[in-house]
Amino acid sequence: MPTRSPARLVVALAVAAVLAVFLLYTAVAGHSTPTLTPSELHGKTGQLSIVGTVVGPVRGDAHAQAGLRFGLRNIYGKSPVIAVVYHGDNPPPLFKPGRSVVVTGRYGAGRLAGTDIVTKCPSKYTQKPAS
Amino acid sequence: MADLGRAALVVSLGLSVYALVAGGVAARGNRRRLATSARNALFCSFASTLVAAGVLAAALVRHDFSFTYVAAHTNRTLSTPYALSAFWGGQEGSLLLWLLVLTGFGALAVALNRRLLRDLTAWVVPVLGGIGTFFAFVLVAVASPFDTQTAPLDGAGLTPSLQNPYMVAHPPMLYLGYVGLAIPFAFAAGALLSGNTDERWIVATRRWTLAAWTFLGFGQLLGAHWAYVEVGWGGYYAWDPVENAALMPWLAATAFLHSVMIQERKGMLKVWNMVLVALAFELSVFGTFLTRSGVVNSIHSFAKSPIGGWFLAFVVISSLFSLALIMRRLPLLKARTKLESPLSREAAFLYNNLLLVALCLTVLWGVLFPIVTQLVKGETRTIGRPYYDFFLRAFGLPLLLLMGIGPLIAWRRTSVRTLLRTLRWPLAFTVGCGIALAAFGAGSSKPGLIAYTFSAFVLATIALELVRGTRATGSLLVLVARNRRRYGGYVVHAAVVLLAIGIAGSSAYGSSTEKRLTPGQSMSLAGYTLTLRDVTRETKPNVREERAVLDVKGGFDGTISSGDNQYVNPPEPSREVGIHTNWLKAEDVYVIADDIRGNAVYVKLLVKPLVNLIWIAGIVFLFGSAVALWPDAREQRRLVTRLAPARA
Amino acid sequence: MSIALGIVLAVAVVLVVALPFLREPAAADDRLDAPAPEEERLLALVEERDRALAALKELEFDHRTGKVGEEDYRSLVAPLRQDAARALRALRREPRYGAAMTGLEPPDLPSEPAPPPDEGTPPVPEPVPEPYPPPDEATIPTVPQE
Repeated sequence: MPTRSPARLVVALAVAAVLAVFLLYTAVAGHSTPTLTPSELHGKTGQLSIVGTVVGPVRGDAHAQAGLRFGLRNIYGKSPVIAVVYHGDNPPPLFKPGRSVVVTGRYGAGRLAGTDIVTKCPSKYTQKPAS
Repeated sequence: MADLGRAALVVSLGLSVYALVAGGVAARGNRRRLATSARNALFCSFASTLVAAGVLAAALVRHDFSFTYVAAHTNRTLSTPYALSAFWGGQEGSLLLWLLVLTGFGALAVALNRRLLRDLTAWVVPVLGGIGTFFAFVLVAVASPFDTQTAPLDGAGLTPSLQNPYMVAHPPMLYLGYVGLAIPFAFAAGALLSGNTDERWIVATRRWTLAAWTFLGFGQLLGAHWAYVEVGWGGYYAWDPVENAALMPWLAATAFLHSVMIQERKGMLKVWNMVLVALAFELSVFGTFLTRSGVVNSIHSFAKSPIGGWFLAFVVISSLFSLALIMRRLPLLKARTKLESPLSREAAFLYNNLLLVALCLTVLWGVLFPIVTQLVKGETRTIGRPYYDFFLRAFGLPLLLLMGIGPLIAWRRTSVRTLLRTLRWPLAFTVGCGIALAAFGAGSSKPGLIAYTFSAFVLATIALELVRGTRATGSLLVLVARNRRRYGGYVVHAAVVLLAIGIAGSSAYGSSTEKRLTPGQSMSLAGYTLTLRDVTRETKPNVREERAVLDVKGGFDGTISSGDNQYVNPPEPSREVGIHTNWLKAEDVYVIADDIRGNAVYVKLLVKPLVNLIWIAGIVFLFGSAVALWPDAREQRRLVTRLAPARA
Repeated sequence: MSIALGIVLAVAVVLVVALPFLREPAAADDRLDAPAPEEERLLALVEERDRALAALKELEFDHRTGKVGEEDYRSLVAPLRQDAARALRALRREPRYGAAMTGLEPPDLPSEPAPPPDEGTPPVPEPVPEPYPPPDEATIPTVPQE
């Protein structure tokens, strides 16, 4: 088709290239981590993240062999308390019992070997003011 | 006083609804007085929103804790600037800021253009009214800043880590960017609705788009700097959903900014431009939704908030509306000229669009992934950093290269031979740089080396353009003054290159180490030796400061301190890192006292090469934008006399 | 106090919104001030002429700074010159072109000593040996100075 501009071909090829890169990555690497609450951990093992509220007492040292030890429970509603043993950088300064956190690590046999903690800023956007 | 605030917001809502309905009827029915009345309603909605904002601001400064919002976000010890910054510290206040900027910008844009594009402006009014209606409704019915209570003795206060100049500057700047994108969107929608789809709406909103884009970009850099110096994990961007919420509309706006140049010159890419401006606007509202709704886990957002549902509904409805409008007016959006060659400036802009949109959609997918997996598999899965890093390189590096090649390609078509001839010197310079960099050890990171080499290429092409242009016109100043958009754009490109070099340097070529130290013990990295001298503890009004003091040798001689602050009211801790910039070696020495027990400190030491280029890039970026934005008297005169009514 | 202020605000706002109707209770011509079709056509032609001239000047500038090679230049300049000539001819045919010239003059007037470049319209370079006659700028009606 001599009169058709090459634009469509160019765009089609480019889009195909982009999609190919994309699919290749997700097929080969596909790094996604399940993010679960403590009540959703039945039967799960391996690398995952747990969203929950910190349960004290918080004991130990993140840089020591024995690690930092604390518990995690659901932010909303009842749930079992999951034991966490955390090794790595000290948790951010806002980390303390009652705070909402996301802990990432290997989970097995009811325990999480945590390697990363993200805390959330204190309740700035909730409806009720902090007392 | 809260009653006045509430009443003012109800008035704003009524005016926005009137602007929407009456404006639509007037534009449809070609009725002048009604159109003027709707326009007046838009102006008045700014006035009444201003009243509401004034009430809140006054309450914040006065520490009026009968306002629930004031009690939640300030306390008596807060100084006035920070008390005012609490305006946007919480949800209701930030929504009010959104509405204030929206009505303000809307009124200004309509006022400036009322004589120029009468039929177009008549349709812009109802679109702006529609957006205003949504935000005013949420403020009146769902999340009001004017809820009252019996005043407690003191308020909850502002988190100490938020009491810094960044809190004053970063959110408002982002909002000016987010909301600013509503103006080109409204004019684009107005163009489609009025059937006037030539380039006039682009010319009228050109500076608005550039200004909004600049605010959004600079606001993000402010946020990154804030994270670097205050949050203190050693990085500046975590691909957090809330950070991405600002990045996505910025990428779409970047594509839009470039793509409209093609429509102005060649009458091509009309459908692209409509889609891009709608995408930029929807993403900025979606970004607000992400930040406020608690739908994804993020360091910023959390509580599930009732406004989430409303925002989602607005984004869905307005997206469907935009899509329907574009499809309906598709016949009017036919290109005037065709793409003739894959090696032409038009094609280069097309590639630019594709890469930027690809990057934007990649980030969007990463943000939506947890929600999608929850809906599809019933299990939330989060995508990590490696995903974003991969695609930033996959799409960002070609974009960098395109920034260099694009300006050197001619319109319609360029032969490969001509292109190579033009690129002679930049290519030679680039290859030379690449070899030198590899010799200096930059080959330790392949993406880093590629980024550096491409950056050298782009800088060389910009220099080439400036040299050639100066030779043709005789004076650099005259050249830039007469072509502000183009050469301002080149300066912005240079800023992006500096950003790329800074990011590559600090991430690909950085190093880190960590060790537990007692006084007298040392640790080394990249030529620096740090020795722990002491741990100091000092009590000041409202804060107890604990610092590990380290002596530094090699590279520079001095001390760095790092530690924690424990505040009294409100009782919050914050981490304080120690940063020293070694300008000679162009790197930062970054010290985190991760854990202090007695006299023993667990120290994390990072060396970050070239990181300050990122902040310098911000300044260059502002300068380039200012040049591009600078008003051109001749162009303005021509526009005004040309588009004003013959009988005015 | 708040209530009084609130009422004042509401009343003021209603007044401003109703203003167009209060000023002209019975308007002779209530049509939106949109440009007439002839005006639209004239505007479109003017914009087309400006685009053609701007593209021409940009091509000459690119050629001068080496971005466009000799062969490319020769093949590209001819159609652009024809576009510009066509646009100018169409404009001169418009009856209103002579009468309402303000704002419609071309971006560069040949009588200026060193025409300044606008956005994308760099200065006219030295005359280059050209195979085709340049667009007919000499017969543009004289314009009143701004």
